[in-house]
Amino acid sequence: MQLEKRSLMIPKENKIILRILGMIAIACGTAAFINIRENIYQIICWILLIITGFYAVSYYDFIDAAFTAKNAADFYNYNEKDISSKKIEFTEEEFRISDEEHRLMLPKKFINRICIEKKTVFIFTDCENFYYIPKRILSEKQLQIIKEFV
Amino acid sequence: MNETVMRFKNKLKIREYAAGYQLYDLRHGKSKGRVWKSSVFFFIAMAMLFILMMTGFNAAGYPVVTLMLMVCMYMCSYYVYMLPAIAKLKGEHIYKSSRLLSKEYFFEIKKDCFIMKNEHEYLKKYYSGLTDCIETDDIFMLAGGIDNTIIVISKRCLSGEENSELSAFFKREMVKQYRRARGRKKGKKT
Repeated sequence: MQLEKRSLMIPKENKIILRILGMIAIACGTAAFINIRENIYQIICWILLIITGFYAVSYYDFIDAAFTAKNAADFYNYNEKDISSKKIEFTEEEFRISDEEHRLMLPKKFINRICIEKKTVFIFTDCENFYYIPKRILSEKQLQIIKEFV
Repeated sequence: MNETVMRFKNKLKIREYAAGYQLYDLRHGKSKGRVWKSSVFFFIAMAMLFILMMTGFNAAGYPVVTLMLMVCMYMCSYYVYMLPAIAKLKGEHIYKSSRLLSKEYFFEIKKDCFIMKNEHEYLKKYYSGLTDCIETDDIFMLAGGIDNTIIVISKRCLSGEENSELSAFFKREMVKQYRRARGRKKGKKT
């Protein structure tokens, strides 16, 4: 869920810009490493530039994804006891979610957006906060109702 | 017996929610640890400046040192000035994108928990589940719980007596979580 949320929240332009910058750094670093090697100081600089390039290229796909997955696993292990089940309802006009301490009844127009990803359905109440439903607990019919609600 | 201490209505303005979100971000968000992070960059920048000084400020002759100096200066200002401003902007953006935050809430402050409700939402939070209670000149910011809910109470909607009563109550009930943020400088308006 956290990985899907992460891919939803990060703008595509950020990923593209970082990848392009990383590729430029790798290309410049490699070209300089091959052609300009006057002293050890320069060689270290070019190697650092290449490493930075690789870091930038792989940041969103591997490094950040790994940290997100680890943080999510740690969060789940730490808070497992506190995670309570919620009752979720979709009516024609409202989305309702409730547990012992929280009840929310949102009319359609109060929902910012609904994103149906591979494994999770995200219901955003604003640009940042959301509720999620794992797709594995939904039947085809229920998923269809959510799609119609969108 | 869990008796009610206070009851009041509260309606947030955009700047109040933004201020609350900024406080939360400083404690738990991207701005967390900004002081030591900016200090690290500041010291690297000073070291680079020292190297440049030793070379008689020959910036063209030492491009990497000059570049590192500029990057570190930028990162320093990013952590000190830009990140809090970005957090405030994000808070405003969240407020604008939510139809729920601008609604009026009815608060019921009890001995061990508080309830906030309106026609769309009912939320009960125990003080023991909160990680932060920060008071500023304009707001109370309560945060915590598994979903990291940020609750902002505007002082504007309360009378002076209610404000001091609520402040004293939070101070007494949330000894670990309560903090009084520094006030604004005299004459500075937000």
